[in-house]
Amino acid sequence: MASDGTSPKVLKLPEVLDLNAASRLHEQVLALKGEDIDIDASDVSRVGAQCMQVLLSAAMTWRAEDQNFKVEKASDAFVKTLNLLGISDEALLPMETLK
Amino acid sequence: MDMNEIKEIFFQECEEQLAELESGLLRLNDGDTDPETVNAVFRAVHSIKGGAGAFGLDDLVSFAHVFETTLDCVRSNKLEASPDLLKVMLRSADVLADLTAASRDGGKVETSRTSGLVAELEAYAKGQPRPAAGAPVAANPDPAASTPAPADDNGFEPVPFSFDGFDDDEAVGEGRSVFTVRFKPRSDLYAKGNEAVLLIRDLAKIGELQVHCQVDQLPSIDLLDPEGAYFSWLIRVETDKDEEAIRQAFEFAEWDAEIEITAGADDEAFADPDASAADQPMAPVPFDLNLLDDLPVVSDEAAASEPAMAEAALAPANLPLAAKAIAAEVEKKEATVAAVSAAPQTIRVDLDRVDRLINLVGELVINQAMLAQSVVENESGSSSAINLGLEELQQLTREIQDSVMAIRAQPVKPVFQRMGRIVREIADMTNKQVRLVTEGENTEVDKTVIDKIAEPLTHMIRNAVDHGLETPEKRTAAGKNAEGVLRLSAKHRSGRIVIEIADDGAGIDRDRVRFKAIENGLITPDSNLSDEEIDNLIFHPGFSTADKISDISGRGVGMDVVKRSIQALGGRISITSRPGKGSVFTMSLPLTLAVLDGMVVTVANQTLVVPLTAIVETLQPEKKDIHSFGPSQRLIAIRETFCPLVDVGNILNFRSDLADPVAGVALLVESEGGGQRALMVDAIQGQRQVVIKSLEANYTNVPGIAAATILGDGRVALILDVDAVVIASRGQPLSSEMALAATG
Repeated sequence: MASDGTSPKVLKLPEVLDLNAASRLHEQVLALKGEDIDIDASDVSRVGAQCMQVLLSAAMTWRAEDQNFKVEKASDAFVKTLNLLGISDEALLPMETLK
Repeated sequence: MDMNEIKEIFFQECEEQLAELESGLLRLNDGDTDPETVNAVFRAVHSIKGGAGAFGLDDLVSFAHVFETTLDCVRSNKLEASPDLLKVMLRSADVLADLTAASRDGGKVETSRTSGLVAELEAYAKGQPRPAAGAPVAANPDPAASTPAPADDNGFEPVPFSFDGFDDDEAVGEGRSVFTVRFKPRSDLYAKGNEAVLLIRDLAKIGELQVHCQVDQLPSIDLLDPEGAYFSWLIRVETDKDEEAIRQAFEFAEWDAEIEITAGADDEAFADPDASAADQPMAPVPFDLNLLDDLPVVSDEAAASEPAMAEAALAPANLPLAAKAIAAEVEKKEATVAAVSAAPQTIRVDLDRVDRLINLVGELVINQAMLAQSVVENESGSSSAINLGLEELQQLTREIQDSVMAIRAQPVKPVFQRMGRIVREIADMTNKQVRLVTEGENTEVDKTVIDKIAEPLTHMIRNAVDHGLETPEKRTAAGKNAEGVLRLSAKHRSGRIVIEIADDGAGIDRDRVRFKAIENGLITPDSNLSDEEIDNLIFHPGFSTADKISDISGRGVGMDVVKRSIQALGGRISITSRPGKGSVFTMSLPLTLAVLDGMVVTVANQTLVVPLTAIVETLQPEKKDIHSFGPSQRLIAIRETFCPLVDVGNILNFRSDLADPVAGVALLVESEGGGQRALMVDAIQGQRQVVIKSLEANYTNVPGIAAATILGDGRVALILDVDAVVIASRGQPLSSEMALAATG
């Protein structure tokens, strides 16, 4: 994946990513459009389907634009929810879990 | 709010659901194949069951449950909505209504009624599997069943399920079965605080899952509505529980999501590399319950297969999908708008509050009239500003009144729907085939009128089926369709609501009516009556032509009672009948019982109000037009016809001698049966809207007087009961109480 050489921006996700958090997350992600992003999901204790939609849509959009978007660190809860929902996009699953 | 109030609200909602249920079933019966209709019917029963469960109404719950199960088979196309099944369902709806009523009023529904239906419903639910794919259409005449369920908007198509190759590569544990769940939430699901994650987690408690998330609807981040619903899931559930258990996991989500549960594994859908799966051809993720609690564990198999697949899936080659997603989104938004406009927002208001408001507005109208009058009386220099203000006030008052009346206005639909049940019951009892056709159900009329027409209407419907329509054999012999048609219609006509009940039966047997009337001493054998007059004899007290008193019509209630209750509402009823073709009963009722447009007249120094709807025309009699007839009868010639002249003052005992017709004014009124009478009054004061104050409630019933009102000058004026006065003019004097009315 191409990158402009600068270090990626880090977006730290809050602890709770429930229904109420989706709009805020969407804004945050949109604000970083055009830049490489590393997601830090290590604090996430709860995540809902709508926030997952935002993240997956972002991952797909970034990929289509040849930009970097990946979850660097993720909490157990985050990974469990991904599995539960049957989402296996590599960008959302941190490398450590894939190993 | 205490429990009883909540329960009361539940029963109110039940009534709405029952109405919804019945109208849905009737639409299906008429060949409606819209899946949404089936859904609406299912929802109605489901809601009743849910509420009843909360209140521990076990009888209701268990019956609703069986009913719901059968409906669910229809909903999922496993069962054809055949006319026979719909008949059973309509009867079930009736029983459900009875059970609801019994739960509310503390009665009991005979178990024999429910158990039979329960057995029938269960037989349908179990015994009639979905017709095999490719079954000849001819064997399946119902269009509802032969039409495949339409693809829903996420592109899911019903996938023919075959048992061949079932579980080829995976052994299903003993006593366990496999279900395929398709779950597509709508944004409403999230908006109502439900969470797909939790629902799937609940499902995971039932059995072992393989979850496949379908993301083809997911737009790019710029187009994404963060509160939208784009994910849908295909889930394989291996469980030792039944389908019901799976359904229960989705119980609170089912109105806000598309949920399809099919028995068996849908390997094809899981493995299908194209279509919806194309963009995310990931292997189903084996999911075990440990994941819910333990450290993250992703099975090796899944982990190994994922990277390669995901890469393939999410390559830019999928971009055209974004366009598709946008189109789908637009479509969905439009659909939402349509759905919203179809369901107007409502609030529930206690009827007493509305009544109080109506009363107050009535007082306002009177007050406004009084104010206007005193301005006229004290007119000094006639300030145009005052007059203008007064006129505006009048306009406003009128508008307020109309708006308040509109609050009470309700469509006649609920009453009409109840008649469907009456028809079915009577048709069953008399072994007749009857189809009820209703028209103008959305015609609105005041709630009090609606409440009061149900009973006379019920009786007339019973009568029409019992006496009006012939048996199928007789109908066939007469060259008619074996199924009789009963047409119930409502429409607005000149400020009144007109309800017609028309049957295509044999019409009134005039010879028999005449014979019966002579036998009962109602008429003399040599009476010369017109067809219309004979027809109207059936409204005479105690008249019944039924040879044997049947269970249906012979309940001691005759058409005379019907007529009286309609008259009590300020209504009229008439009948027209054509031998061999059928009869039409026409009821005309005021739209409201609260106000009336009246003509204010003077009779023997008393002020009376004559309802404007009764008056055909007014005229000034001339000496040459007045003809005497017998000792006290007088006629007036109007355009080459003679019309009896009725002295209102004399009939009401305001005066003992007859007034001079030439000195007064004649009001030509229409009486029932169509005959006209000229009512003599002394003078016309004017025309105005008056607020009706019940005499019965405030004083006592007075023959010849319908009600009272308060005029602008604060005086009480009586409202004339035109029909009673006309009847009295035929020689049946009003009772002696009249003297009281005249002085009071």
